[in-house]
Amino acid sequence: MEIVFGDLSLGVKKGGASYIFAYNLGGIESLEKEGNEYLYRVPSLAFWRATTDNDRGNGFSKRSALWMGADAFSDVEGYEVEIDGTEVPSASLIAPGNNELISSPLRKADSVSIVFHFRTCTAPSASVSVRYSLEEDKDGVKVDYSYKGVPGLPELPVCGLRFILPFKTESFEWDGLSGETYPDRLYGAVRGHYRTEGLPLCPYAMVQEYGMHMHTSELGIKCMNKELCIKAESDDGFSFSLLPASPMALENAYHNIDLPPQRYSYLTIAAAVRGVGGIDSWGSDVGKDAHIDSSGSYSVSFRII
Amino acid sequence: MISIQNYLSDPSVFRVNTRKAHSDHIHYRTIGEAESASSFYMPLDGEWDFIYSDTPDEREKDFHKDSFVSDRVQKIHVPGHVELQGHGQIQYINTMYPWEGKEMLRPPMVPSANPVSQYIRYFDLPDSMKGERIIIRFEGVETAYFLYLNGEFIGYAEDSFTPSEFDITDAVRDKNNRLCVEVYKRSKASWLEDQDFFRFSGIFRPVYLYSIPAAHVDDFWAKTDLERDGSGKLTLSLMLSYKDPAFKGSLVYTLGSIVSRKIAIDSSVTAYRSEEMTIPSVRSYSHEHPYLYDFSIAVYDDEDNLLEYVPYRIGFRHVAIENGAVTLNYKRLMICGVNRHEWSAENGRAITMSDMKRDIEIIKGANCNSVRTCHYPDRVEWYSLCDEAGLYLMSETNMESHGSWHKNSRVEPSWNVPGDDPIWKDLVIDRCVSNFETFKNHASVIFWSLGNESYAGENIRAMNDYFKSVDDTRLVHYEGVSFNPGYKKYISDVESRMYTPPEKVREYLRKDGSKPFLLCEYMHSMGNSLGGFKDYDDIFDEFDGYVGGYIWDYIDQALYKIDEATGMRFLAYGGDFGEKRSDYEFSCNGIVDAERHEKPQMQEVRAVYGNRLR
Repeated sequence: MEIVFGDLSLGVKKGGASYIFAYNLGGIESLEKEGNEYLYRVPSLAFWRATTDNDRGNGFSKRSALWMGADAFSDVEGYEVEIDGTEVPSASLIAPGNNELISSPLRKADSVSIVFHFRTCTAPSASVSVRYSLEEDKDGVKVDYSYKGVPGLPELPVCGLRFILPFKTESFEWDGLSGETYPDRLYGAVRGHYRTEGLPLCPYAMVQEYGMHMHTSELGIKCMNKELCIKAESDDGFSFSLLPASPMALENAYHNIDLPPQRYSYLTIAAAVRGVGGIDSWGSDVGKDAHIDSSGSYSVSFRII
Repeated sequence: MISIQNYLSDPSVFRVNTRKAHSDHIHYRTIGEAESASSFYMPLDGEWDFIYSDTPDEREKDFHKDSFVSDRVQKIHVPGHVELQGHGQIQYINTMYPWEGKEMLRPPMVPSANPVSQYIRYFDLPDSMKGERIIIRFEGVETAYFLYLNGEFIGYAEDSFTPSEFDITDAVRDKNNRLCVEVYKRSKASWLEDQDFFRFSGIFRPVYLYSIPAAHVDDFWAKTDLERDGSGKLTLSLMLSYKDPAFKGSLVYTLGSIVSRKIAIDSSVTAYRSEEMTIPSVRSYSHEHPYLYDFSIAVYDDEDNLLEYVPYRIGFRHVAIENGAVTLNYKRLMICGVNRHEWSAENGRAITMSDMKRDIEIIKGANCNSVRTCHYPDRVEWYSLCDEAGLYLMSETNMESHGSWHKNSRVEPSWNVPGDDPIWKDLVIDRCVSNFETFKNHASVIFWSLGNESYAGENIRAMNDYFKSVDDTRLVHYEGVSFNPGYKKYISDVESRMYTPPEKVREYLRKDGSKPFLLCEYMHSMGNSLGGFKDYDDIFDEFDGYVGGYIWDYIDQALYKIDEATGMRFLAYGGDFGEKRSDYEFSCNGIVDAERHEKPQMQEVRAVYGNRLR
């Protein structure tokens, strides 16, 4: 594969696709295949879900409100690049160091990885790393998301990575569980291959979190001639939701008709998902084993093709 | 045989067979014509044949041959950017070069992703042009182009925002002319055209043919000055060309009813220079009273038949630095300015006369007295509009190389253009020559600017030297030297910086003050902004050496787009076209939005500038 050492970015060209990782923005800014761009913006850290009726009833959203800010803003602290298994110091990657790279053998490589390190905009701060790895003989780009918690923060609504795809999905299909699944609502799910036309609107009277699919091994998203595939790289798969609106937009909507017209697809890949609860009545908390303890560590690995 | 690649990538090749830059005067067949349009001119704007290719390899290599036929030919409107007519990627990017993350290049390398636009235009000469000397004029083509006529190579030009002319007398036919223009989006000039804007290509300003009569004023400079006692100075220099070596005739130049001189000319007289004329008690030119005198040159044959008539409006004013302050007409000048990109939500930088006239109204209505033509020469009509309106111009040369020395938010000039390498020198000087020669007669122009954010070195020093050598009636401006301060004694008459906090401005004026202090960009008007504007205004009262500044900037750079979800038209900014990389909403920093509606901060501009200039 070909590596492009930019002044603020690392470009990779491999198998008819090209990728741009923006040092200053903390992630993959461009994923282009056959002339189509698949990313609207650099992916962001996902920490918020739109308040469910039960979240409101038991006060979860109030207790965990600071994660809404952390979802909206994140702070990239640094990045590291490895090419063919050897770390390339960031001083060599940015100017003037990259001047030496114009005639470097590193411009042709068999493998490259770039990991971005983040601090959550909370006090105290938890840390997150997102590693993107590309290998000559493997399709697409592998993403390893890892959250490392600290004591002293409230429970997490969700923990993962959110991509905005610059199109309205026509259909998506996945290998995983039927219906909508949360950690405390898995019992009825049946493993299989499922398909949804378009992006589903919120099935609940008042708009709130919806559409989570846990333990997914593969997800395919289609729009016109565009096709994106997400494959699990860990044994128990990944959790995803693919929605027509951001959690903030869902939070601010009372009804589906309050949502913005569908332009983009919001793909959240989660390392941890909170349950939805409702055990004895409105207003009681989600069962303990369906909480996300923010002092824990959570990771998810997947491949985007 | 022309080597396309060499022309595009060799910094020593930037104009081939082009005519020398000259003043922007228009010549008329009769005095009466000057009220409407010159019959010497024939616009070529309209629908042209067009072939678009993503790369040079895909272009039609024989398109300039008369025998060429192809089913790839489409139609395109000239003037206009090709990207806004459905061809190629629309991209907004600020300081990074547009190939960031896609190709690793160093100057003067040219990206391999280099879209090519091939234009074909058929035309016949009107009877009035047959047998005459014929010139073709391109007002603006981005970024480099090869010109062919009737199968013959005519020439090559760069410098996207500067008119280029070619003498096609020998190649033109009376009928069935086939004009072919091959435009490359990228060239080595792209290294010097890294302005913070949408990156376009194509023939985006008007194209004309014009004929020149038996004797023609190719160029003139009515150089003026204003004395302290209120008298005016006028020195006329001009260049003439002739069709017939046996030509004899006369030339009459006038200034209102004050000066009228007749000189005999013949084909040996290709240059003329008057002595310095003194005109007692002229009316001076200023933004409050932009008084202009009618100046004219008329050329006659030996039977006193009028061959051409050249009217021009000139003004008398004196720009200087006195006692550490910039002065105009011996009084302190306070710049209440704004940076202006040419912009239209519909057509990008392919703007119209009515766009320009509206801009004058809005900018005057905001109580501005100055405009910086960021960061390239504007359409030539703009300068006359500013003359009439009383808007002082900083006439900026087409150059910005921001991404070459400012990387990762740090000053990092390990490589930079134009830098010190002599190979770039003639090219950047040529851009200064075009700026000066085209606009030298405009009363509104008080600063020549060397360009924007291009660091500093021997080549920019040479640009400064050039302006100093040709014009002692205006000041030279350049900001980028503040990043290489060793050159400050050679570059820029003013200490120019951008976005300096008020306290830092005061600190300079208190501690150094060796040059008057100017903010070529300040008050970044992105989104909801322009708070604290009054803080700068107070400095005028504290330091005579404070010259003022130019707000960043006049108009949001956003483009109409149809929202697929609703069918509604909206104003799209960077990143909305799927382009990568992009700097997204940084394209919108105006005091008016892209449709020229005032943004709420205009109230503050109008009040602060209005009170200052009252």
